Amino acid sequence: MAIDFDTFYRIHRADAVRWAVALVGRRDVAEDLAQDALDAVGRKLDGIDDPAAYLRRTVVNRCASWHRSNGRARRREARAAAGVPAVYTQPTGEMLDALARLPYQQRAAITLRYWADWTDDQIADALGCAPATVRVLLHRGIGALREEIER
Amino acid sequence: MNDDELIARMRAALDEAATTEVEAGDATVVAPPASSSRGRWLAVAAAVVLVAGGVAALSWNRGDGPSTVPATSGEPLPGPGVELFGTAVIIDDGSGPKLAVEVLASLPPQGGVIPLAGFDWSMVEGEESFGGTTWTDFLTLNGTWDGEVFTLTRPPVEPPIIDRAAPEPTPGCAEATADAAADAVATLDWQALRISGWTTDTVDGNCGTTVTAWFDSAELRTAIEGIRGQGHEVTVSLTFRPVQGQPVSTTTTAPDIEPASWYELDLPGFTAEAATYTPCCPPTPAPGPATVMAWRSLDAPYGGILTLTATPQIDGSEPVLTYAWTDMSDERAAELQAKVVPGSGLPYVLDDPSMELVGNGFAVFGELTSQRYTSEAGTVELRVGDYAGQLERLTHNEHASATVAGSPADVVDTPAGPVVVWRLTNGDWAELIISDGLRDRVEEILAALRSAHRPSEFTPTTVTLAVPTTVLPSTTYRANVGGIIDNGDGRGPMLTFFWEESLPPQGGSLPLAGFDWDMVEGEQTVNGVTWLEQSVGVTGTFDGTTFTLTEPIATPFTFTDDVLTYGTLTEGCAEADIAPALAALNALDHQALGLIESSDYVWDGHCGVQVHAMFDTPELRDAIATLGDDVMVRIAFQPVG
Repeated sequence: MAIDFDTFYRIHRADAVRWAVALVGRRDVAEDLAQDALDAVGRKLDGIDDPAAYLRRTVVNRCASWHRSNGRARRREARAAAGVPAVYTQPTGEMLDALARLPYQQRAAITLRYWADWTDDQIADALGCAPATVRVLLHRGIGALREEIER
Repeated sequence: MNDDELIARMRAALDEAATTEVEAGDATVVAPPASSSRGRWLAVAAAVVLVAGGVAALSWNRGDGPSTVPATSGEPLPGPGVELFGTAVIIDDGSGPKLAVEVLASLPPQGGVIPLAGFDWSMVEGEESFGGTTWTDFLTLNGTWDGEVFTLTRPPVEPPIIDRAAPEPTPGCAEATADAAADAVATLDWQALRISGWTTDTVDGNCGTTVTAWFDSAELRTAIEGIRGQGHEVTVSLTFRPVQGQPVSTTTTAPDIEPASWYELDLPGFTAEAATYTPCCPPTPAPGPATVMAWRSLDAPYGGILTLTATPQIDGSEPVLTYAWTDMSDERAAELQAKVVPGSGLPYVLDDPSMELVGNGFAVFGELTSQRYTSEAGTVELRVGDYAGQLERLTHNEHASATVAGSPADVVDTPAGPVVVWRLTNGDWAELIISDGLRDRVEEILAALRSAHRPSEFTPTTVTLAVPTTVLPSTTYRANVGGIIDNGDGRGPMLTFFWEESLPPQGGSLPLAGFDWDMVEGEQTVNGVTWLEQSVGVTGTFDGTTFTLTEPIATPFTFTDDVLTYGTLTEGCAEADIAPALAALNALDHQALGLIESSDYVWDGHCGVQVHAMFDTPELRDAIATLGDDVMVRIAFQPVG
């Protein structure tokens, strides 16, 4: 059953922000990315049979694009790599820093699985990989996160 | 720490991040936007998915971005020799490797359709086997299609995660026709036409049927035209498309497996000078370089181009946007400009399905390789490298279509002489700058330009690196860098502090020796460029040109004394207070001083200028002394011990 945009927005906004926080670790950026994703999916609401799944894919892709493509973010990242505080107004923590150093797919797998409570199939669908690959990503991601934390 | 404890810590950290309030002044949108501004779509029907011959239902596009193309766009068919790319699974049930896009969820999976040649299991990692069947995850594959077999031209690579847009419904048809269109499509011989599935979307007054096919073909086009001739709206989504920039051809000549990465001018009377190389990217004074984006009309290659230059402002206010266009009316340009909005991934997005993004970069020269040819009548200079604003040329000057070694190109008429611009298969841009004295010989010069492979032993004769001129002491340094990239041009891996947006990305600050990709995990390869976009710590020596690793790649180091000076950090300063320091900063020779980045900053009640430099040198310290008191300097490469 299709729903209108306002209903879709009210139902999914909080989830979308939460998913984006998992993927970028920052509330302010997550709000923007979630907003973009809701907007993009909302405009096609009647043409897709599973808006929630499509929203999950869109959030994951928007966050991937943010990690990959945002030039300013890249420069902040480079500064962060050299020890300059990257975002002066945001709290940073050992765990968030460690997550930020993981490959995107590993980060997405472990945060979406263990914090946002997605299923393996949902993660696989959003990442465009097989569920078996998700299990590999979870295994490697946890291992990599431990290495980052314990190093 | 066991897994449960680790996960609990991660959850706590994310809980905190999720509840941290955004700083005052940053807009937090919590209310849904007015539906009128977004267009309310009435609920009519969910998508209907037809299942082709028992194969699993068609899903949204997987892999490398939107692939929806009109099957009968008038573009020439890609011939047997044209390199295609797409995303699919490789599966071998004992009858030889085949490609699949719709994999049945059984164990082992099934669904191999297209025979695959030129493949060896040693080319991939992470394959799985069960019951005599071996299969991979989705991979990006480059190869040629002869109508029977897909032959790889490069080893498969992991597909990059980029935006995967769902097909847009085709506007303008009545809902009632949707089922009829689907019924008509269902009559096609999907096996012979290499159709893997189709969907029908119906949306309030709009509807469309999208057919997904493996490859473009004359038979497919004829079949789709037949369906359209019956009055049905049909769009075709191709799994494998020609590599961007690859000339399409209907000839049956042997495939040119390696795409051109370089060109040679073979013309009597012209003498080649040594090629020179300039690495990416010169530091840019605050507020940084302008962003340049370009879109072109899908109606004609290089036709109808709109460029946007976004110039950042020193006071931090919104960038100033400047548009230029060609081959379109002023009204059309104004209409498109109104659709440009800030994006969350790309800097700006042009939300119009008839326009395609062709370039995005900064209005500065990136990595560049160039070579000059001299003759009595004038000079010809070839430049190949990153996007460097060439598209802007097209919108500011008269231009005409041309062909360079089989690639579509544009000849731009500038007062200094003609400039020919074209794009290489690997995403680089090429420019041929012809002096005014050779204006009447353009055709002859272009005809004498041969595609060539940049030889692996290519060594630049002129290297201009952003490192200090001071001879550095022979010592060991540690630094945290933004990642490592091998641009596939024979120069090998490089440390990079910057990533410029593109796919593959661009970067490269210092050549890196003693490195092997086996040392790291998580690198990606696209179009011959391999990169690791991850902050890493490196330890090694530097000889003024190359950084040589003496220890394995590590996670980023924590430096406690990499700050050269903080100055006095004036409290409560006004932005006007730092204007003199900023002016002095902009006047410095960033290249010679080895500055990675510099800018103004306002932080915790203080403001001033900050400088990120590669090495601590006497010249750098002298320069810093001219910048006033409020200077924060960080040094990337820290001596060990």
